[in-house]
Amino acid sequence: MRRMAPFRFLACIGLLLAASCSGGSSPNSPAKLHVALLSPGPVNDNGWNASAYEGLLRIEKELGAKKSQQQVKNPSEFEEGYRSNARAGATLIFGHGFEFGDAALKVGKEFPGTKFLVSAGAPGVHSENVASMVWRVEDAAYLCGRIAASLSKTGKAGCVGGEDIPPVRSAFNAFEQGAKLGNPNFEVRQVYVGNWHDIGAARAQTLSLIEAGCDVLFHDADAAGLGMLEAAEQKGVFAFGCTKDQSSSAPKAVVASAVTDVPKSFVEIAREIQEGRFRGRRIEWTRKEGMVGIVWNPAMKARVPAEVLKQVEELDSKIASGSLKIPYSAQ
Amino acid sequence: MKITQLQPGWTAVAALLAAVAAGSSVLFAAGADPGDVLAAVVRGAFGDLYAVGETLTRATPLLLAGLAVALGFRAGVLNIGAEGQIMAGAAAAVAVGLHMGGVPAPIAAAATLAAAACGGAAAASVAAWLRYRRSVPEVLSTILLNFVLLNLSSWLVRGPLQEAARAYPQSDRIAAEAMLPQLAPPTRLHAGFLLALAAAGCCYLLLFRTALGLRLRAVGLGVQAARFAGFEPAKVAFFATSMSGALAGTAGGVEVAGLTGRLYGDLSGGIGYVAIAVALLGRLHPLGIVAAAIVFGALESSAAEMQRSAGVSAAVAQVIEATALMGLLAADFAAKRASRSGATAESAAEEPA
Repeated sequence: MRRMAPFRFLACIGLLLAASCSGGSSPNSPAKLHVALLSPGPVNDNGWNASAYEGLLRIEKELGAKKSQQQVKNPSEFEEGYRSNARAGATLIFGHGFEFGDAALKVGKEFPGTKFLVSAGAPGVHSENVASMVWRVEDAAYLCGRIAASLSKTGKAGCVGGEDIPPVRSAFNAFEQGAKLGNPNFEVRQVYVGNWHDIGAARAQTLSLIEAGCDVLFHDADAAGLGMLEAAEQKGVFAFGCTKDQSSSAPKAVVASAVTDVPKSFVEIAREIQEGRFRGRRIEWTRKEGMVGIVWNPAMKARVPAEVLKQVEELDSKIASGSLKIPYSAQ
Repeated sequence: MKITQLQPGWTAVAALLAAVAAGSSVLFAAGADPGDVLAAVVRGAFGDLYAVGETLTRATPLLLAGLAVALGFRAGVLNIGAEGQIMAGAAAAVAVGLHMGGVPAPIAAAATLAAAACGGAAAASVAAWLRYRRSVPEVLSTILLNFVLLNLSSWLVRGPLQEAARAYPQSDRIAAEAMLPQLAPPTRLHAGFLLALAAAGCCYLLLFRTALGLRLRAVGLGVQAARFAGFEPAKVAFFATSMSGALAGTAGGVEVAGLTGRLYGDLSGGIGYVAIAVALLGRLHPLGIVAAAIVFGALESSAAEMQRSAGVSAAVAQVIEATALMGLLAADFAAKRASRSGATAESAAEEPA
């Protein structure tokens, strides 16, 4: 009997297989907008994934779309995530991260009627029905840098990144450029956590930045950035939030936050598709469309010198009108 | 209770049913519509050819890694480092696969997978060496090596194996010649599944039809007895550990050569840990593991469909997997208790007579 057990087990599986193979596949309904989101992490992370999910919910509410969401665990599931949603009749599928690029291009060819979006996609990730979109945090990081230069006593700032990838490097370079506008000798150090979630590591790296004399901090590290904010609050140095208004996470440290309106961008894309004016391309969301900008912490704004406030306002309106362009530079 | 002396048969099925029941109650407590969920489960796992392909695709690395765990456990080697060995195998596969351009396809793929097996075996041999030369328990060394190997691969995709463009933490794609053939497009099912089935067959033959397998199982059942029988436990266990690592490494290799084509820092995604559950649910028997891997593949595949169409969180599938494992251990324990008290009652009844 000992030997027989696995065979019985196999037989059960066989029966289950035979019984269920008769089911049909889902029907295609191109008329209604059906939007799917593939998130690389849980949508309750209060950061990158949460903002995408919020976008999905807004598309559902504002455009009356059908929604579905799937968390993919590892890279082998990217392709499957796109394909299964396309097969289930999704008209628009967001893959929320650069890592979805390969899969979007591949599955995009198989489903020409479906639109595929890659958040923070690499240059060149677009085709007829595939688009990638990036948020030019540079527009806001530049202003944060300018403010940082006026607050720093040591002339040194620290930037804590999640992964060392081009968009993050570019945001930090814009921050540095803004700071150098206020103080040509300003020094900016960049460190990287190596992931987007390790709050403890971000905190430790921040403490060593402070130790090295950095008295203003900026981050682009998603959830791990909370570690930077904690350390700044504890050590009494200035900090700038990222992605969302993070004033409440470190009320005595955060001066302003460089925010990106991910949900609004999602709704914008869905609207393009609904109105039939979508085309595959690389989309850059900037200050101009109101997708990127800075949000002050009202309690800390008074610490910034009046002439700097005035200059920041001027710079902001120049960036918003397009007369001042902050370059993308991932060097 | 020795992990190698699990009760076979009904307990596996009972544990699985208990897990499904527990999982469903979690689902319904969370307010999901039972009809929607059931439909999604069946559709996601076996609904059509595509779903079946998806189930088998997900079962492939679980099967190879499950065999890896079982082979170790059978020889009394508690290798819980499959997760790290998968990454070692994947990294080795990429390192070799990148340079296979121009090599005839079957040879390129074979070289890539051989590299994966060697990578996994090398990683496991470290633990074996620590165990048999330095008396470090392999339970500790393999789990600690997981962290080393995961961080090592995460460094590789930012260092030596990073793509030529140096932009993202990923490797370049391995040569097309090194990729495994697709079995049933548009499903993702690839030749790695057949390889995994063949590996299960070989493990079966090795364990139950060869002298080496007998020695291996004897060592697993009792080191002293095996020594008296004239076997060298350390040598046998060293072999089992390396073989176990080679199988886990191959699991990483087929993920690369069959699916992703690239190395990513988080490629393994917990497969090495789920494999322990697969091995135990399959009662450490190669054929049982084939079934268990397909069950877990179906579970993961239907979890994805549940998310898509019934709005159920990804965590629920993990709850079901964990419950299956705990149910299994509980059932084993109960069966063991029952048989022991039965035996005591029998001998007590015999004594007065």
